[in-house]
Parts: sequence; structure tokens; C-alpha cells
Amino acid sequence: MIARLECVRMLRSRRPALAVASLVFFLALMLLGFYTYAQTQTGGEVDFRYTYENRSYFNGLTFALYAFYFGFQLVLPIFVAAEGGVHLAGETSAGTMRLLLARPLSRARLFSTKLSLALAYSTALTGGFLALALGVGLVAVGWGDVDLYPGVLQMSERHEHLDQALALQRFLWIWPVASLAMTAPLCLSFLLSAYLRSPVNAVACSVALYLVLFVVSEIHFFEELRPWLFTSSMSYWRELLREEIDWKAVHQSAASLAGWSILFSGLALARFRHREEP
Amino acid sequence: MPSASASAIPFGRRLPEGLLILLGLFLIALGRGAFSARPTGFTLAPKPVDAVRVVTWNVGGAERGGKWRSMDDHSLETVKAVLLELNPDLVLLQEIGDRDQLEVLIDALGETWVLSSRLRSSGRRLAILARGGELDRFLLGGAAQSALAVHWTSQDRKISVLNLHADAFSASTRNEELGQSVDGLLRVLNGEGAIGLLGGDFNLDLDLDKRGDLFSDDQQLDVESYNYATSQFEDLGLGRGNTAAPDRRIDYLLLHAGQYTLGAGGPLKGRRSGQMDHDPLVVDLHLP
Repeated sequence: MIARLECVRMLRSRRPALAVASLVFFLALMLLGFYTYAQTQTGGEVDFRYTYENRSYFNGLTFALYAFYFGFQLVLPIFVAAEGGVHLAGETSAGTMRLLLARPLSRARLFSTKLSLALAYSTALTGGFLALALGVGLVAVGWGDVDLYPGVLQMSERHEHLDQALALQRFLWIWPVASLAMTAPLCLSFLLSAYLRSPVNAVACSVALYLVLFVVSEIHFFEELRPWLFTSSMSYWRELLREEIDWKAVHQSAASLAGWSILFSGLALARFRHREEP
Repeated sequence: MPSASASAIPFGRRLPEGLLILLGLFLIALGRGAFSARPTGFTLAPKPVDAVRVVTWNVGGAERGGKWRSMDDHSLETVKAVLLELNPDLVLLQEIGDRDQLEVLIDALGETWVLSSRLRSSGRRLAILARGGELDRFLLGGAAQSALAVHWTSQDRKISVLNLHADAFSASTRNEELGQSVDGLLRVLNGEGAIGLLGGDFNLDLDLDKRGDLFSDDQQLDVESYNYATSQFEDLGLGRGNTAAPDRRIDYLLLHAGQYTLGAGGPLKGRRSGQMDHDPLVVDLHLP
């Protein structure tokens, strides 16, 4: 009953619709950039450069990879963090938390229901974005094989080639793997939402903290800090696009991300069960 | 009716979140293995029989007071000692101060050694030193003329060697220097079994840990330069560790050969002196 109620409230909040619209807009911009880049880089205007790039390199699957890569790092976490940030702090701010807790319902049950719903939303958003990127790639560019070169998106040390069928299978595997990664910023935002009473503050802090951690993990000056940041592991799904997958590395990164998610959830639950409601 | 305010929770009821926190910490510790240790580099060992040991080394120093430093006499002693220890067959050096320093190195290495060098516009010298045989210099045009190019003929084997010190500041200039060096070297490699070696300090770093390289003015162009070169040549130092301060892999040995076996290799750590900022990159090759 409570799960159904929470689901209806989430849909009525229009947050999912706003997230989907933003992701579609992002894909449109990516498509525009991808098209103009492919034209200028392979249209005979770059004779002065020594390049490995060619027309067959730019296809719909490469587009989907680029779009998902950047969207996953910089767009999806914002909407996921926003979702997590409003759940607890939003109820407190609106004064509805007291009403919810007046029902014969434990705080742990309420917390787990809200977290489960947010996890389902995050998984659906990740999968939907990936499917949309692949669909746009197919319609607007046309699929083909995937070629990855050293330095490109920092995904491989040597040239890797995946034929179209294998690449599509790997994209399917990426969905649950990337969804697991997205649980870490979601649970972080739940933690902040358990401490802060304003949803605006909770969302802003979650997004700001994610971006700070992301930037630190991307700059190689901070190499020693990387193992201690969950953002360093989030793009581990890229491993699935190698010819030979290093499953040990995948499992270790998954364990780390699951660990951070569980840690944040545990701390959030501890806070939520103890805190006074105004 | 349950109270909306938090009441004192018995210890037993704190157990779920306590277990969650412990489980989270355990999984985080488990996942730390994903951040593997850096490669430790080349371990000094006697050269295997029949192996050709190749070394490339930028022996100059880091910038100080607005001037780039070529090898000084203190570093010369270090370079001499390290080369004697390594017992190489072919050595590519960058940032030599003057020809006298090369004479010192040749005298130390032995009378069978031969040498070819050229002065660059920067006032610093490129050099190729080889154990025995002959070095025949050849010229390349365009941006590749900044490289030192030789045919090394020894024991019925001919290797065409390019020693390149690419521009440190412009990815565009590096792109032309490396691209035209690749093209130029491929042009002189005629017939099956021809062996080409392109080495030196290329001043570009694309390793996986460099997600945002702060040393390049155009990382995408460096990506293109590297991939253009490695589409024809094998990167012998790949995955073997950083070669220059602070943690960059910018020294390369690229090989174009029909058949070969790659033995031990990597940067020899802990042998810099003074203002030196590069490690020697060493590889053992078994060539036909």
C-alpha cells in the first residue's frame, strides 16, 4: 500500500518527466555535435593531421557509447541525486513525514520502501537512457561495429574491435552494471536527505558533492585519492566493451560501489530512525 | 500509536543499520583491489643470449629558471654508469649537451661502439649509439627532419632507427613530427623482414590513468598521433610503467618487424640524478 502510494506521488511530482525530457535534449545536442564532428574530421578537411579516424568509425553504436558515457557521468547522477534528495527531506519540509509516521508503519519500513522505489526509478532511468541512445544511434546514424582506440574515452590501451551483434549484447549487460553504479550517488543523496530538513539543500548538496568527487577522481594529480572515492569506480561498465573482459576488475568495482551504497544507506537509516520530526 | 519523535532505541534494534554499515565497509575494502598497483618497471638482469637490448633515454633535466637543461657532467657520470650496467646493444639519447659528452660515453662503452648524432635547433643533441656494425645516416623531409635517422647494419641484420624528440608544448607540431616520422620510416623499410624502430621522447601520454592530462594543449590530437603511429608499429613499453616525472609515460620504443619476441622491458627506476626527469626505457628484443 505504502509502495503504491509513494509510486503515485513520485509520478505526480513530474520529476521523472523532467528527467526524461532533459535526457532527450542532451541526446539531441550530442547528435548534433557528433554529426558535425564526424563531418569535419572525415570530410577531407583534415589533411594536415595524421589521424586514424575514418567514416566507418563514426556509427550509431559509437554515438550511443559517447552519449551514454557523458550522460552517465554528468547528467544521470543529477536526476538520480535529485530523486534521492527529495524523499526524506521533502516529506519533512512539507510536514507530511509526521502524517506518514502516524500510520502503523515502522521507520525502517518507510525508509526501505522509499529507497526501493528510488532504486527502481534509477534503474529504469539508466536503462531508458541507454535504450534511447541506441535507438537514436540506429535511426539517425545507423549501427555498425564498435572500434575503440587507446586514449578515446580512456577505455582501452590497445585497439579493440567488437562486431555489431557482440557490441549490442555488451550494451545489454551494461544496463544492470551501470544501474548498480548509479545507486551510490542515489544513496549518498538519501544520506544527506536524512540529515537536512530542506529538500533544496539536500539536492544541492548531493549534486555538488557528487561533482566535486567526480572532478577529483578525473584529474590524475589526485591518483592517490581515487581508491577512496566511489566516483572513481562508477564508469566500470566500460570494461564490458573490451574484447576480453577483466571480470575480476568488474567484480571488484561492483563490490566497491555496492559497499558505498550500503554504507550510505546504513548511515541514512541510522539517522532516520533516530531523528526528531518537527 | 507510534510516536513521530524518535524514542530511545534499544541496542538490539540498532543492529540492522550497524550490520549494513559493516557490510558496506567490508565491500569497499574488497573493491580496493580494482585499483591495481603501478608497474614497477624494468628489473635489472643479465641480457638473455641472442637478445638485442634497446634503450631510449632523455638524459636532460627539468626546466629551471626558464631554461631547459641539457645533460650536465654530473648526469653524464650517471648515464655512463647506468649504460655500463645495462649492457645494451642500441641506445637512443635525447638532450645531450655537446659532442664531447658522447665521446666520453663511447670511450666508456668500448671501442666496438659506433655513434651518430645531430644538433637540433634547440642547441641540444640527439644521438644513436650502437654496439658494433655500421651506422648510415639518412635524411627525412618535412617535420620528420628533426629526428635522427640511421640504418644500423650488424651481423647480417639491418635495422632502420629513428630517434625523435617531439615538441613538448604543441600537440599539433607533435602530430606532424610523429606522423611524418612514421611515414618516412615506413618508406625506407623495403621488403619482408625489414625492421624499423622509432623511439624517443614523444611528449604525449595516453595511458588509462590519465583521464584528464594537464600537460597537453590538445589531448584529442595526441590520441590521433599515438593511434596513427601504433596502427603500423608495436608499442614496446605499453603497460610497463611511467617513464618521466611526475607520473607520465612519454618515452616510447615503437617497433615495425615481421617476426620478433619481446622479452623483459620497462623503465629502469631510481637511476636519475641531479635535475634529470626521465627514466631510461629498456626492452629486450629477440629478432630474426
